[in-house]
Amino acid sequence: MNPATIRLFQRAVHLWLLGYLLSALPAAEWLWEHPVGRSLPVPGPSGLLVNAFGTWLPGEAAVLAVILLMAFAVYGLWREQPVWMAFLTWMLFASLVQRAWLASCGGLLLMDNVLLWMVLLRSAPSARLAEGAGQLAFHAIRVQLAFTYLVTGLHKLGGTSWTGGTAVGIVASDPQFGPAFLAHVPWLSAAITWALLAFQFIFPVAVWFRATRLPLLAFGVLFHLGTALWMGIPEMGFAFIACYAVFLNEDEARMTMRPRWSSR
Amino acid sequence: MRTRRALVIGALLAVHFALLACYTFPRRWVPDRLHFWSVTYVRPLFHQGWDLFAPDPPRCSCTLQVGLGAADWRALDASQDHYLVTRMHRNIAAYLDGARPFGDTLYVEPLMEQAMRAMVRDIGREVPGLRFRAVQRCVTDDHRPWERTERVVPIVFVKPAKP
Repeated sequence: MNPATIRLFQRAVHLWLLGYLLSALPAAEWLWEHPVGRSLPVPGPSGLLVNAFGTWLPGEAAVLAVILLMAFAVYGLWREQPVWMAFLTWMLFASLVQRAWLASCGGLLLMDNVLLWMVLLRSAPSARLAEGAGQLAFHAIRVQLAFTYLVTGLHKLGGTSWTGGTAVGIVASDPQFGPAFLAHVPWLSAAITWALLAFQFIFPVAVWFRATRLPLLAFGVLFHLGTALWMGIPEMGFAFIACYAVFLNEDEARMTMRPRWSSR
Repeated sequence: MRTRRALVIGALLAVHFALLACYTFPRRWVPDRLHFWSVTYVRPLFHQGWDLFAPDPPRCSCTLQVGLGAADWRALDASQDHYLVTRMHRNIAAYLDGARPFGDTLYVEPLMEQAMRAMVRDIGREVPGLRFRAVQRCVTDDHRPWERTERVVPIVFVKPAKP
């Protein structure tokens, strides 16, 4: 855990947040102003934090929250958010996701979790407790990412098409996804199917080793760009790519942020 | 001091991810009691699910359509091609279990009826008595997925049960 990696990660997440909100604005009426899905309750008292609009905040405040969140994200790009702002960023984002639950996807839920941990994540903690909390958050985010791949791989073992090599062909032939040509090249779609399945099991182990980390992240970037392009889940693909920053070491993080970081 | 801190952090992470595992792993792997505790802990703040295209990708592509006249049928997201509106359409179809072939008629509960009508609320203001249907294109042979059979299934809305 080092300040350069943490700042790069925070910036990557805030850039993602800004990009997602800007891309969602044309659909704001359907998502937040007059949501298509009826409001669903979240159990427990803490559920109020992630379901603010229409419960203890007026539903109409959701669009204002989008603007506020964009301002917070811009601030987060510029410098580290204070704890109160990081907390509000998480709470408002989670409540917006809950309000538009019918448009949700794994990437939004991943960011929901990441933003919660980021409340504790500090690049220069001032007290021992804050340092411990920051370390907990840092490792939780890393393990969360590895855990995500493991779970999705395990789910795929329960069927026949992933192990049989036909899954990507089926998805590619679906008129709602693509690319359609893949379905007509069985050897290629089988190779991609097995490569993806292998990636989801290799990532949770190999990402912790210096020699395999960068090639694995590079493969992951290509994979998620593919899902962004063809699966109709761009924010999910970019969410994972943004989170990859947490696996970079200090030199890699400094190099990515240069010259901005080095000028400080 | 550092060792103690590392142990505490390790223990907290172990408990957190053990409960997350009970929440996200395939349901049949997790005993009921553990699943219950995991829902209590995870659902409010850490909700997530990682079974997209799993255990198998949808073998049926499902489009929900609204009927404006005798022969004019449009997809629910036809008025807007924004990716999040298309996502809502897909998610409604997924909630209706559109990945598998429907029966002769699709019965839809009030929660999804409201969502479907909200997707076409602009049309609904001008055209009374909207009709809905589902169009599925289903794979019959996994090795020839481009050969899909098309089925058109009428949708009937189910009235909420009386208390």
